[in-house]
Amino acid sequence: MQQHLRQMARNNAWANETLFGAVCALSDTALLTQRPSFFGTLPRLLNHIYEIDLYYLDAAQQGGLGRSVLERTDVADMVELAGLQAMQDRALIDFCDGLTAQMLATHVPTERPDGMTSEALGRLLLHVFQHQVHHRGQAHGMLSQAGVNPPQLDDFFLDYGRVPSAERYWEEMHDA
Amino acid sequence: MLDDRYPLEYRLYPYARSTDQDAATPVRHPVVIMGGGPVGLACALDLGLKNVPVVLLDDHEGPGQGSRALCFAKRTLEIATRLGCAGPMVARGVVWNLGKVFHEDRKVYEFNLLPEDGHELPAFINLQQPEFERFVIDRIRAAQSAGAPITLRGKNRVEAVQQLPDGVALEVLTPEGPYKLEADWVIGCDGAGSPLRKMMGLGFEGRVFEDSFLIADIRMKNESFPTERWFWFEPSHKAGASTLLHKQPDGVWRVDFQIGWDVDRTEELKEPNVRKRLDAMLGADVDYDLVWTSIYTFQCRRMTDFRHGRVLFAGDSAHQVSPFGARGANSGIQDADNLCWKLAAVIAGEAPEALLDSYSFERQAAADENILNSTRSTDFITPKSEVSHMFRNAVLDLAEHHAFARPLVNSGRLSTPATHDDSPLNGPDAVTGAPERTRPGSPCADAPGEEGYLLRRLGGMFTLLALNCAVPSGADALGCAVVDMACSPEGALGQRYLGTRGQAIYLIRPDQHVAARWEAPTLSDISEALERAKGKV
Repeated sequence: MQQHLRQMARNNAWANETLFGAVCALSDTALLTQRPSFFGTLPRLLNHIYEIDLYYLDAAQQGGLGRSVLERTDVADMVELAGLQAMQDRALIDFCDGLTAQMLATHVPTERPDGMTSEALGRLLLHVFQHQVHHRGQAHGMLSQAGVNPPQLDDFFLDYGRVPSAERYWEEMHDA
Repeated sequence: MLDDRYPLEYRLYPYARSTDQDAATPVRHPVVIMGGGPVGLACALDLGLKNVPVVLLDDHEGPGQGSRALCFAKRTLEIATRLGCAGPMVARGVVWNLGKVFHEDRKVYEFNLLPEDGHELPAFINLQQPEFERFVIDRIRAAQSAGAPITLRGKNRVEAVQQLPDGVALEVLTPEGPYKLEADWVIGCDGAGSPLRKMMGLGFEGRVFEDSFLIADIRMKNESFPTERWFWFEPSHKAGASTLLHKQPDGVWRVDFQIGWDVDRTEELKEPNVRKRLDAMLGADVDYDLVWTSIYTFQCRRMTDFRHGRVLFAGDSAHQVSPFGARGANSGIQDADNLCWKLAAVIAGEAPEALLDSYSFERQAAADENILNSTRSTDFITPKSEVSHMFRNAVLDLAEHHAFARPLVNSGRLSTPATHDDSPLNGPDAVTGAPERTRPGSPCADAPGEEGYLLRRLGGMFTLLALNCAVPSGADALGCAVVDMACSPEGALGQRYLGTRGQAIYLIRPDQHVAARWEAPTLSDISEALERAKGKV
């Protein structure tokens, strides 16, 4: 499982930078246009992905910040958010690279609106990745609505059709 | 005592006894400038050329040694063109436009500072500070021969100042003892440690950055680098946490190492220790001479107000920034550019004293912008927390692979002149669809015209620039120069000043900033804007 999580963390970093490549090319008007979707605009959606990453990585590391990380103002500048997301993605990769089987079975506390609960660390991380993939798909749809050709966000794992920009993450995996 | 605080490169204004020292009562001068650095010299030249008698007091007798300011920006060279001394600077300086950024020895990306055609002057030149100062002094000497009322006094150190109701009283120490002097106006250009500021008990608020940098100017004997600015974040040679390489004239290179806060300066400056860092970076087989070394730390801060009655502060005495981005001397020269026409107008009785408050207002805003940019660069180059360090490295990684992230990389975002957006001197912006870059408050963008470059034609007085039209009748009696130019929508001039419109009239200040613009103004539109730009409204 550790190996799979390490690969997912890299897939996540790669998919986010690829997605931001398209988002950062949009005009302010295109970014702020309300589009039929759960979050309405791309900046709000991408800020949501980012803040939920903050929340779960803190829980995984037992940082104790809990829901307070959600008390933030959305980052309006998409280039700045891309930088913050890249930093967060790198932190998640580093965390996954340090995982052991024993750690994955431990339970970590999670703060919910109705109090404290706990989750198995392995499944919490799976949920993080599931959450990201789920929402990036929505961003992909919103890019189509904005009239731009959305980038492929899934050509990462297979040898066949793997895009060149994914290669450095695989090289890094093998070096590590 | 009047010992030199630093070694001189050139002794260009040796001490000479002035008749003021023998006067029974203190002699009064319209303007006294304290300090003979780039800003003080530029003020002396600018005012002298406007026929304002000016006395410059410096406690040294010429420019000090060391490349120091080094990078002079396009706007500085445009101002120097107006003052008549840019030619030799550009001829001697190293022109560069290309910068490269490295992280752990991998090239992250490169940038061109001036990707746009149609400018007479380069984005930057590298020129040692004493050379820059020498060229200004040469120009002052030529202006003096032509009758400009400029006096340079070496080994004249101001020991005390006192504000009078209508001027300033000064006590000056010379090798032959003290004397007294009075001035209607004093300009303090006496540097970051400004004795004038201290004598007046004025504060200097801001932030200290806890890092030190070692500069080594070297002359390479058997190797060379291209004429580019190279910046390394976390280079593998580890001779500095970051390293900057810059070419100077005469085959000299500046290497600038970030060496940490807690260092023993004397120890670090010993030649074997400097060479140890250089050898780690350059390789042991590169042969070089050490030309000059120095360690600096810095602060980002400014005075609350640049005008205190009859005393005005300009350059580092008023504001200090980090060296990243070349914002020190370049912003100081813009201070001089902004201040001198205003002071000359006040002294000539053509404008109220309130015009000088606009100097303080406009240049404080410019200093804030410089401090903000400089602080951001510094935080990026020397991250002080684990999180900011992670962010920095994530951004460098992203920028290596994605062009969109490159604006986030900040290895010293290079100095560009300030736009005075909220200035009380600004008049109407009445050209719908005209370019943002030439809105009121902006420094004029240069562009070629049929009779030469635009900025050369603007000179140094209020100017009406009429593009594809004539000024209203009677406008030539307003005391402004009138410059007519024809331009096409595709040409640089049309693109920078007309945008989608067919014609426009710009009112341009003596410092070549736009005061107002219209598509078709009446005479009273123009005269109202002119009054406002002179601080009368």
